[in-house]
Amino acid sequence: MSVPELRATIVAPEEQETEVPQRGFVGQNVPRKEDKRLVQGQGVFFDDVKRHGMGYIHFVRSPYAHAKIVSVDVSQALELDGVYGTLTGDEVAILTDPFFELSTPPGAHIQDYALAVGRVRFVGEPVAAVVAASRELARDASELVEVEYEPLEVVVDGERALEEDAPVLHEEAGSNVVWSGSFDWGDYDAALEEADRVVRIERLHFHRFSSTPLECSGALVEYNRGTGQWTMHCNHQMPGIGAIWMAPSLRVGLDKLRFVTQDIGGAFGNKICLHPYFVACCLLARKLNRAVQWTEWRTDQHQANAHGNERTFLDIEVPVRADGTMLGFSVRAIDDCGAFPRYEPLGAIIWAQVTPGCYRWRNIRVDFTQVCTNKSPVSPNRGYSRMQHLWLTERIVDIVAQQLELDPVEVRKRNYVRSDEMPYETPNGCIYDSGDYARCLDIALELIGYDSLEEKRKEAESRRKLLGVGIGSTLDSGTNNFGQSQLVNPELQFSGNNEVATVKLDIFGEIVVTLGTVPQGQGHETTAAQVVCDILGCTPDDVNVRPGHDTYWNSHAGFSGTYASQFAVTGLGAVKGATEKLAAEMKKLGSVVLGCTPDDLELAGGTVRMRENAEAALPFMALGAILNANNAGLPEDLDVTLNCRYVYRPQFEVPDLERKFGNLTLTYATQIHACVVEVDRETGAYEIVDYAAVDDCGNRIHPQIVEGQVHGATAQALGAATHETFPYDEDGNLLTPNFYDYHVPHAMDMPPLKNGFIESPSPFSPLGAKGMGEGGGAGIHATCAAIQDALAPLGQPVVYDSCNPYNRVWELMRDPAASASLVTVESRDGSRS
Amino acid sequence: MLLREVAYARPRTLEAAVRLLGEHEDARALAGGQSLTNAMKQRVGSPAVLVDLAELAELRRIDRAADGSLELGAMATYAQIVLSPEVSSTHPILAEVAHQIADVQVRNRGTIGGNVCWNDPTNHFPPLLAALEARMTITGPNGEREVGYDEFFVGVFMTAAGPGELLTKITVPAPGACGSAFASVPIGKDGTCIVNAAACVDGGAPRIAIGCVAGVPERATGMEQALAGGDLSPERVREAARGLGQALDPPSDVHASAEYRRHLAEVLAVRATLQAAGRAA
Repeated sequence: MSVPELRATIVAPEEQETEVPQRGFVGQNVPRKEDKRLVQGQGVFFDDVKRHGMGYIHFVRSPYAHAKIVSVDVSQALELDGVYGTLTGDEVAILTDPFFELSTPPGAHIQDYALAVGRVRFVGEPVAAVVAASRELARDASELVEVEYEPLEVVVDGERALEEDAPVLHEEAGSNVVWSGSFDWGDYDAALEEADRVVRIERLHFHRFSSTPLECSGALVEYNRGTGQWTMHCNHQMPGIGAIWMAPSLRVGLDKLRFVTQDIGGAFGNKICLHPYFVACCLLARKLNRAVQWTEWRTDQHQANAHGNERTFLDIEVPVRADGTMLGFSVRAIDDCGAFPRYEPLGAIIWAQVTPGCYRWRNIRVDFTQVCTNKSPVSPNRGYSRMQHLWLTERIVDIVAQQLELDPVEVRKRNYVRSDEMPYETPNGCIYDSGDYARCLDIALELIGYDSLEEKRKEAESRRKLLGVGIGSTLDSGTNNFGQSQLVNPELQFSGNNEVATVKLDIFGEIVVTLGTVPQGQGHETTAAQVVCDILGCTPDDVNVRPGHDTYWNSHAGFSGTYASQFAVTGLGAVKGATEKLAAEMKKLGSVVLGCTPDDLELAGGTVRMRENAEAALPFMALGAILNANNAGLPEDLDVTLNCRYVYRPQFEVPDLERKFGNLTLTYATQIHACVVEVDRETGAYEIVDYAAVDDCGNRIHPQIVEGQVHGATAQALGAATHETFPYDEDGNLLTPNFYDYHVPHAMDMPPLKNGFIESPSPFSPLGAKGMGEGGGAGIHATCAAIQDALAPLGQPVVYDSCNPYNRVWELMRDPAASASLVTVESRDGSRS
Repeated sequence: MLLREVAYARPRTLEAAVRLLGEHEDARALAGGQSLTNAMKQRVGSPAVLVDLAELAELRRIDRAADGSLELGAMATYAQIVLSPEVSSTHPILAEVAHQIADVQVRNRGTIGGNVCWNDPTNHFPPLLAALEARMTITGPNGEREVGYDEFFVGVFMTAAGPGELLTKITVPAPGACGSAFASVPIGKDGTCIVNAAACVDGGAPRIAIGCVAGVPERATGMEQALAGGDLSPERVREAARGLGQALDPPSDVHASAEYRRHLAEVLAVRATLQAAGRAA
């Protein structure tokens, strides 16, 4: 296929012009560059990468949630024909150092290795690994590995883990507490004094669940004995941090680790903490002197990769004025991070990016404790830590509205940060950059026909259904200031943020872009090309963006990766910076050739040309060829490479560690969702019958990609709100270890999604864009609120858990007093209700 | 993929299939494979020999017998049942329920014989076939025998089709003026059933069966007797269902407590019965 034909197949009709359109490509729904290979089945995922003589890894995993390892015997497995070798915890303890811990003591003392050393702490924890000539054989051989365990008492509940007599997971830490700290902003005691009412909620629980990427985790790992370098063809989504964990553990320099990705079938944060598995792969590749591949299975993924943080909120107290103005809140939070902290305790501070949620609350006191339990470790999961906290703020709003008989819409509008207050500084120093929450809410309500709500309730009632409406108001805080890590551990040497891109002009005029990021479906190739072509005056088809991440091939920085809602700011900020450098060099070179000054030139139509005389033009090909292959006679002092690298670095300060005060993220995208449910009066089964998601992520580079991510985040949230949960029995067995029992939303389960958008450009980001991929779990909050609203006629039960399968809804209906008793209201004339 | 080593046979005749099942101690019949292969992947079940029934066209037939009853070959797929004119002319409830099972890919592969032989208590067909009083034909080394549904379903994952035997046919009696209905609370739109119920109303006492509450579909005999008089008014049916739940001993699991299942059993028995009565009218 010739090049012009190829273009014709992928360019939408309105873009089929030889002249560059006057409008920019940024903001347009250009065809996605990635889609052709993906829809033709030509994507390359890590499991598609094969090597001659490679071996397949199977992990022997613990059937116990907590046990001493008495012995591990691999001899029978090794005898099987076709088995290449094994790895045990004893070897790992000799060959590697424990991964560094982010926490201060006691969490700092936890020892976390690639395989269990001496003790297992959750079901599914890898104890040994077997490598064989086929996956089947590796699995067969793993069944011959004999492990003798001595079971220990199990703790699966975060509150129980804090009790004096609870079994301790990590004896070296001496406690199940990973980290604890207090946060106190504004003047909470004065707010209590000032309040007309104080609403108290005994307990709320944000449940454990996770995203379930289509592609599980894994890697093909090669070791080069001559150079001591490992290459990992993998789907790690945050190689910068992955390498910082792995290299010291393996006792090598960072440059010995090469991460390569191309296509990744979703990551959602679940692929940030793969370092224990990858270190085991590295050790095996070196030990056996052959390429090895580990492909995680679904049950492994559910049991032993990474769950989202589970959080219990206790003793919530909300001072309120009679008109519904809330003055803040106080809460005691217990966060359960499972058996090993890994990325934690960063979750113990990340929530503070959105301390008051969308609200003008000035007085907030939080006591935060993170604990270990005999459950799967956690890792950041889409909406990481803010989602849990925003569920609390939204529950507070809806419970207060219920108790004080106020309209949840009016209460929100009364308490929302207003658009004329932007940029708005929160009580802990975060700067909400822009937004108009009330307007987003109005749009959402219009989309679900809120005006005719009472008629809809009556109509549903005629079908014996209870109709309810709920709102979820959230912020997706993006582009972390890693200085916030110092709020959990002042010793940590992390702050700010960065991302890298390179853009070059090659001999035949090709524009080639490399990214430090790790795309997992977000369309980085497309959006990067949009930014580049607008600056260089060409079309997205003229721009070749190398797919995926490659530590050696592309440039990268310490925080390179794709996580935490930041590509549109950091990734594209780097692309913009590099392209502007290249554009300046192209003009400089052009000015030498054309005998003018760079200011006389412009980039347009794939050429550099005189502003006053478009005929005097050099095509990109000429520029590329002159510098790279035909450069005799160019001035000696011409400092032009046509290969430009730019590191985007947002402006951040290290937070004030004493006051725990500072700007923790650069941008704050808004999500205001409205959900309509119908609950079956007899069974408690319910259906989401209408749904609106209104997002404001500033300038949208590619609206369709934004909308797709809104759909994904909404599906994630609705799944979590209804059926997706990771409960454990008292012995520490996960009760939903695969899709038999873990019900993600199917296409049939999804309501018709109505999307609305406004654009409040960020004053702080290079393109006025904001990260938005995670959302803030608005669908969970909206669904909880809608259920509470629907059930209100039955005795005002209180939705106290973030997951509400039908059984729980039925219990709320049957015994409304049980949940209602979690809440009390104190009137400041002294009465209680 | 990733199964234990297994021998695989694909016989062309029923006789060969039965012979293979009898010859090998740990042989299992493979129908649509929607459950068995998953169990094999998890290695909770690892037969030594798989006898694939895919080539046995005679087991895919859906026929009308002389007495008006419907004969479903054990290898009839859900999709076949959904589309069959024989089914829809006299037993549309079978098509209605088959259409509720999972998704189109599963319906194209999964078979009614596999569904009942697996006898997962959350399956759709066991309670429906109980309410319809279906009979199962089992073929073994000693020839054919026919058993009623009540004899066929033995316990969780257990049926009367023993080692070396094969379910070949399910016979659903002629419906007469019968109206049938199926009610369920699944997880989401098309997920596993938490509780399901089927009812068949035919002039006299209705036949009502509850699924997901025991190892076999449970006939709601008390409720049936209470309604034997033929008055199927909503009040009467609700009255008759009272106490049905307490008579059951359903399991508690991650999706539902035993108490919730007891409650749903009553609600769904009422719904199925009233709908069936409406259809019989």
